[in-house]
Amino acid sequence: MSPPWVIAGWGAFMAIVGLVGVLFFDLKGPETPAFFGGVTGVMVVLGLLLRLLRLGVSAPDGPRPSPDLSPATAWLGVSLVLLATGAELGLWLVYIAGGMTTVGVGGLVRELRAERRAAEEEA
Amino acid sequence: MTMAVAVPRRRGTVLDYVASTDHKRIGLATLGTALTFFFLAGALALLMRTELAHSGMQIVSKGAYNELFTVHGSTMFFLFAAPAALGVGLYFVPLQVGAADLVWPRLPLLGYWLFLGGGVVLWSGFLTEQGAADFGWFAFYPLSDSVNAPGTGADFWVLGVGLSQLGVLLMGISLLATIIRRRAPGMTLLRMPLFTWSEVATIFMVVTSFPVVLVAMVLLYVDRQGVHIFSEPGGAITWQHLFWFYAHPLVYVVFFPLVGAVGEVIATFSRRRFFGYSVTVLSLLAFAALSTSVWGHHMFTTQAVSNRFFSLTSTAIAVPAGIEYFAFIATMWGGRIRLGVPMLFALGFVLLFLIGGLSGIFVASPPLDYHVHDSYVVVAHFHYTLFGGTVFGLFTAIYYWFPKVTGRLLGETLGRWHAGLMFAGGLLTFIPMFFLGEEGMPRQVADYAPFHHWDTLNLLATIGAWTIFASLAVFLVNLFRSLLGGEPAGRDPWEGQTLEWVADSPPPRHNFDALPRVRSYAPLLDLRQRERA
Repeated sequence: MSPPWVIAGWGAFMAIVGLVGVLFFDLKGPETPAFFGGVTGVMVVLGLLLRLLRLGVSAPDGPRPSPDLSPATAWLGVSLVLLATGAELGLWLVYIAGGMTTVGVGGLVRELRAERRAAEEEA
Repeated sequence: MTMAVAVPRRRGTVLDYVASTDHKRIGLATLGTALTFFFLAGALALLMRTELAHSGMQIVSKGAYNELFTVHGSTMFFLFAAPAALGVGLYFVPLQVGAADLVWPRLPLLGYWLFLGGGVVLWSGFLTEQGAADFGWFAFYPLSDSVNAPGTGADFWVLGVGLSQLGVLLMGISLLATIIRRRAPGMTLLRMPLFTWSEVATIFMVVTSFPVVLVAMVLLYVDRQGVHIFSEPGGAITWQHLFWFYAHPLVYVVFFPLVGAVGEVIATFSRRRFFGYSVTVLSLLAFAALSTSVWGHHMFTTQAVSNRFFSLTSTAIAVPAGIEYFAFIATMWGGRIRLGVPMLFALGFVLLFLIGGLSGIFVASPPLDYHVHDSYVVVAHFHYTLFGGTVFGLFTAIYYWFPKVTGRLLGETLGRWHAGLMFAGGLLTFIPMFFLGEEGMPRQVADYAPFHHWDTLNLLATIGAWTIFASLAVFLVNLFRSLLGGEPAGRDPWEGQTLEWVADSPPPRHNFDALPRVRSYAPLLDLRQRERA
């Protein structure tokens, strides 16, 4: 039992339930089979990807760079909320939040570079 | 064991609280914010119940009442229950699987800010000229279109729901990646604690259904700007499909992790290994899959779905639910049960959720659903699942894990008062609603005519609601007393069975200095049994 199989298996179970609906019941429209198909597709593809990319196993032991703080992420979160709210309150807020988002993304890039450097030094 | 690179940590700054990537801090922030929204939504419920205590309008206008039940329901689902269920997971799943941290820790941090921001935006509707959204938490179209619900408050509702649920989705993705990638050596899937498995099942529902609500909210927002999307023929039914495909799994998302927590508390307080672990894990996964297959039962009366098919899937849920109940009872059977406060809440969960579950089987039958649709029977049913499942489950988790989080025990006497009052309040509030609904009282009404003779039952429900409020006041007193001067808990006050009880209380940044060998889903119980042998 490995994560890819659990994920794909869950999707397959959804496919079976959906198939029962398609074969034995009049589902009255495309929505029901579409949702079952969508869930099955997402989970089976996710399971397959994990299996093919060998990401479905627990990572080996050892030290990892782990950020303690990420002010840029918090900043980005607030910026995105303001950006969305700007859709309602007006372009002035969209402009401000857009600028804030750019600063946030820049901060994130800076944090990730620092993290990579720290990992290289640790190695 | 996994280890994080040691980075000198600054303590006590504002940044530590708003920008920490430590899973424990994000989990606590999420849980604390969700509980704040719970109290706010509870205050709205008290207002509604007080208004309904007698026939005639006493406290609020009918328009304000519509806003109250919309924001109450929306807050309880979107801003309390779902984030709380994931918040507990953010704190404890890494500890339970022996990980030092989350995978992609920035993702849940971003998720937290989107959730908080979404909540603030949603509640800001009360500050707008036309008030908050007033179309119910399910925003049925055309009630939610720009003609019937004009104004900024309704738009804020759409934006708030979208932002907050995107936040919860990000938390879920990071948690799932952590469970897949950061398990300690020896922690195979079938050695993961039940709570972690219940989070896995929850996240499967989150990753498949939450993207749908994001799409739905974008489409509704665009529609409200004058673009015809749901106003096309069949659009109202399409809205219901989109909304319920998300919202029915949501109902399970909000209590599923707590099923796992209750299972662990029952095992720990029965001083036994959890009975039927493998079958329960399978039943959790099947439960989650079936709950993603039943959204159409909310649409029986539209006649736009196959009632027979959705009745079949809805009734089939009784099978995995029955397996879990059987496992709970079998774990207690023959155990040396300690009736500590966490166990009292767990038993409350089992009993109250049973009422919600059994009434769910009735309303899964289309003829009976036609009879009680949009009546207070449905209100009673889902409040037993949510109050019995989510609220009792969450307090089970809080009393059980509070010592781990704070290093202090919550007061036992006040805890018992809390459990007793809350249980009595839950019965007194929601049992009368079954009778009211059976007598024909519709849901979401601000008033009823005196000739219906519904006053007594409504008054009982209102007294029950205030009893629940009293129990929560007791909890708050207990919480602050314990935080300020509670009894030290040590690492493992309950003789727990899972890895989090190895860590210090509260756990340090990197969680563990060393881990025991993991040979089963109850590694600490294994250790104790070997020491005794």
